[in-house]
Amino acid sequence: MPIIPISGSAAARGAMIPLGTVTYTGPAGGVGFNLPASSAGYQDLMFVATLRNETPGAGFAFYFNGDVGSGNYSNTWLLGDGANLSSGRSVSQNYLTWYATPSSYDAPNIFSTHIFHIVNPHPSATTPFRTVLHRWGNDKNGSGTSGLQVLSWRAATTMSAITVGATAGNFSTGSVFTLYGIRSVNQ
Amino acid sequence: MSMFPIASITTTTTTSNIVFSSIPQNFTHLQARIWGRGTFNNGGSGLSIVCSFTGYTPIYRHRLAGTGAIVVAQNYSGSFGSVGTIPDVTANASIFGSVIFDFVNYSVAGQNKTLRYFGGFDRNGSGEINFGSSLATGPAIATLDFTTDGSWAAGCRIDLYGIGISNATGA
Repeated sequence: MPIIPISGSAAARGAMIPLGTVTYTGPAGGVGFNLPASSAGYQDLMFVATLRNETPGAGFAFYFNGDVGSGNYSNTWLLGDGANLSSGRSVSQNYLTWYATPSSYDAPNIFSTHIFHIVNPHPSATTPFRTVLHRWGNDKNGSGTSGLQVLSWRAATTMSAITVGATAGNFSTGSVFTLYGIRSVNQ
Repeated sequence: MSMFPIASITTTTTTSNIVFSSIPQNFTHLQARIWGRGTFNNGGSGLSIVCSFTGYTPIYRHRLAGTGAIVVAQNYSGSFGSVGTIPDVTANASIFGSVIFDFVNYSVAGQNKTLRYFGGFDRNGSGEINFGSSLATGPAIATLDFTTDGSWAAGCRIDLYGIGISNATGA
């Protein structure tokens, strides 16, 4: 799994700063972004992924700080599949898992897109949990899903890393992962 | 297109109104990124965030929501803002909701103002995810006054951004 160095420059203009990106040139299992202390200089983080799994039925696992055994994650989701709407949740999970990704079962070159808004990842007051907004979509010319999700990570600790791994097998060539920082005033 | 920070407000005590004034008019789009919870007891259901601005007339709010069990589509007349996106006072004190508001045509005089929002919270067994829009008539938005049911709890934060079409000026 590649660990991506943070490359954004504080001198860059504007609020949204690219911090790191990786594009898969061959199938690989996952990617982790280590957050340096300087990431506290960003009020929000945004993580964007374009995904395709090599293994049919596989999806992705999303987690912070390598925390994969504590049951600290829960989520609530809303999904449309072109015919029906549904909503559900998962509680006390070891990480967020989601399966709305195309795979080798689907036509080539179809990827899903995922945007995670990590609002206030470094809260200064007390020790609140983190609340992450996720929206995604994929369309397969006759099937597909789109949806919204809110994720809670109940760990009152400094956020130091973000990782996305495949639940089985590898992500496909052409998968892209990008982390942005969003600066507020005086940052 | 570029995004620029305009202002940020954090509540240090229970606060009824979070107000941004003298909002610059040289962007094409405003975005408010909200980290919040309210003091009202809504029986565990989410709390709305209502916006007002000088000279406006609120018309409608629409909502598409997932509660973890059912899907909800609703509308409310006579208000401008979101529906059900931050936790109420019954939530664990460490749980805040995240909400993103987009005011796409905020500075265009003579056009109705349309707000889009996306937000929610999760309480490990309950929670909501919400997506919706809202409509108001009125002049260009130069102030924004955010309220919620009851008051904002201490530790809430709203960051306001301008999004423009030019890297050089933000205009």
